[in-house]
Amino acid sequence: MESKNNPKIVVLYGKLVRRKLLVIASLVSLLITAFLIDVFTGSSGLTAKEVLQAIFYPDSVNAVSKVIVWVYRLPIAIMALLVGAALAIAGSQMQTILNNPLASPFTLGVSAAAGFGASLAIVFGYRFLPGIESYIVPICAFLTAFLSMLLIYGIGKMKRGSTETIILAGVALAFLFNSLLSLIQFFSTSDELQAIVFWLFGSLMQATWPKVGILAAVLAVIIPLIASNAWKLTAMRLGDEKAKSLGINVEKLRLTMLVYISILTATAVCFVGTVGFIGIVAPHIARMIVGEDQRFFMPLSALCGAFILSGASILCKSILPGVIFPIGIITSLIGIPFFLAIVVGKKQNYW
Amino acid sequence: MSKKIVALVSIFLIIGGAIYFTQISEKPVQIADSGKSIIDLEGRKTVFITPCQRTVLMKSSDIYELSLILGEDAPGKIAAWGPDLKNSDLDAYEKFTEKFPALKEKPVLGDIAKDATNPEDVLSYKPDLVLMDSYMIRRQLKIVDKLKAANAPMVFLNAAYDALENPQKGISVLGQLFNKEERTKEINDYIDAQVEIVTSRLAIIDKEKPVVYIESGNSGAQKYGQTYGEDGVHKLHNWGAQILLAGGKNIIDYKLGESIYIDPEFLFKKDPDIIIITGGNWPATEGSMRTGFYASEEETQKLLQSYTSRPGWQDLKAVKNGRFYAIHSGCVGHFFNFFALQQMAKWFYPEEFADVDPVENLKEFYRRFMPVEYSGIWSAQLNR
Repeated sequence: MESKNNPKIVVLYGKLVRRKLLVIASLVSLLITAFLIDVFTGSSGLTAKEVLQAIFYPDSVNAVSKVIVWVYRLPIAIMALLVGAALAIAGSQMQTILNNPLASPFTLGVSAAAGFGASLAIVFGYRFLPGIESYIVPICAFLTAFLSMLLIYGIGKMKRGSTETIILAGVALAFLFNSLLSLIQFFSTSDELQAIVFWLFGSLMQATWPKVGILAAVLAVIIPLIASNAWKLTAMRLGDEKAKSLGINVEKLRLTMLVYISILTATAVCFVGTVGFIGIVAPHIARMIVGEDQRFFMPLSALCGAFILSGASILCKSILPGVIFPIGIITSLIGIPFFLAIVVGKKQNYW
Repeated sequence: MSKKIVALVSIFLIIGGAIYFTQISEKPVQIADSGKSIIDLEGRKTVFITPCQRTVLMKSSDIYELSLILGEDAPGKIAAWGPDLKNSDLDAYEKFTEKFPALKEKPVLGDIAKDATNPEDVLSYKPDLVLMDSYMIRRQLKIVDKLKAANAPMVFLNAAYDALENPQKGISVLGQLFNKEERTKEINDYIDAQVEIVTSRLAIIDKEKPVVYIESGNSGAQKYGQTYGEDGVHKLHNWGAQILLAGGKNIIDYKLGESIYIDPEFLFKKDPDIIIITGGNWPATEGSMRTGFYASEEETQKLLQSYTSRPGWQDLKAVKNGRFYAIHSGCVGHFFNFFALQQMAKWFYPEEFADVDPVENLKEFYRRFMPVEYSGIWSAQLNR
């Protein structure tokens, strides 16, 4: 280990790490600000003081303020953070294991599959499983999303985890599920059709505390599992051959990560609908800022995702007070120009 | 360079000319050489041999109007109909097929709402009348042009475009088509008088308008349903416009949404005087508001109650004061919309309309004109 004996490199590396930590710290503070604005924004015109009172002394405020803060604002604001983080992590790992800048759970058909599952539940759910309407849609969306990833996993496994196979299988499944979704839409009544379309738009309005809890729990389990592979994943971006020469079982790691990503994506998507592009954009932004080192890349991806969705959540309440704008639309509308600006403005290639 | 410009200009001229000539070469529709010339609600003039014998109902919900005008003869005049009645107004489907079992045997077209109707299929029934709706033009459904090209005997109605007049106009067009002018005049006189009760009284009421929130009951109480805005000119009539016509003030005044999801916070802020949930029969959604021919008082009441248990709703003025109602969503676009207008006006101004009994007026209408009997629940108030 020559570097150990070279104090200059150690100092330089230490500086680099500190700079990255600084970036992360500043994004954390941005995120907290966004979250607070999100909680303080709403069309009911509660003052900041009333909101704080409702949060810390729920019994000291009137019932309506309590409902507004505890039933609507807090779960939605927290859900925005969690969903943003979950989708961004899933996207970042997808890009990493497939070594492809276009890979994301969405380009590989997970959102199409979830949409298909949700529409299936909206149209047929009541006939076979009456009485649990509010659960059946997310459950179906989760199952189909997860199933589609398992299919990709299975196909990938047959071909020993080759990236091309996984990507092509994903793209093919995306088309398949999109046509199945159209098929369901065609056979649905106009009311069902409307319900499907609005589900696909994506919305945080369905956020409730149990749903927030489930997603938080999933994140709490999956993040450490991914993080424990951080070094291996970083090495994977050097290419399969080099990673193998470092003693990493590339195929196995790829397939294991695919399972983690599936669970993460399926859980996030099934509660809020299609908020697709975060999975692509957040990791790219993170990579531009901190590069490939997974120890920084993954947390920063998560922070970027959470920040974008939190910002979108604020916007979708404030564009037209009183009207709920679908968050999926807003995320893309504000995120894409921002993203393109970064891509165009970036001087050297970062991928 | 100049050659390119010349080429470009001539291409435009050729395309423009082609469009121009195909436009003017479209012949006026002539179903028969001599017959009754009838102008529909799109202002299209068509010559028909009346009474029409083989009607295709693009939307089967026109059975309300057809049976109103033709009574027992209605089924015999129908060659084929759309699937919409069975799909989205199950109560009416059962009501009318119970009275006229022959309707069950009628050929069913592809769903017009999805532009899934095959024009060949329509023509194969050799219709001498194809009943359309202006919304089919507005939604740019491909079948409209296809049928136009085939010179199909189309008549466009649009009861939903103007709640005060268009249902009656449609009825009188149908009266001409089926040689029932006298009967339709009698019907329209009744409807006009009912609408007049609302418009004449509202014209002289000088009070602050009640603030109203209306929500589609098709999502059930678990989830907020859509509410209705208006487009400012009442071109498209919906429940948002209906609030205005009945003398209320919608809590949303955005011109952008015919139907939008409201931010619940906004509702608490506005704290409306009156809340109305629209009902129907939506078996797909458990807990959806139930009204119509086969709805029961207890069921409607129970569902209304379930809405009041939404977080925070117990504290809303409308719920506290019991000014919390359900109304049948299917009224818009049909002749019995006069009932919805009266009912809402009475809810908005209870004193001024104290002597008006909308439900009784609707029942009387059924007794006098309809081949099927009135039944069920068409409006309800929350019991406290």
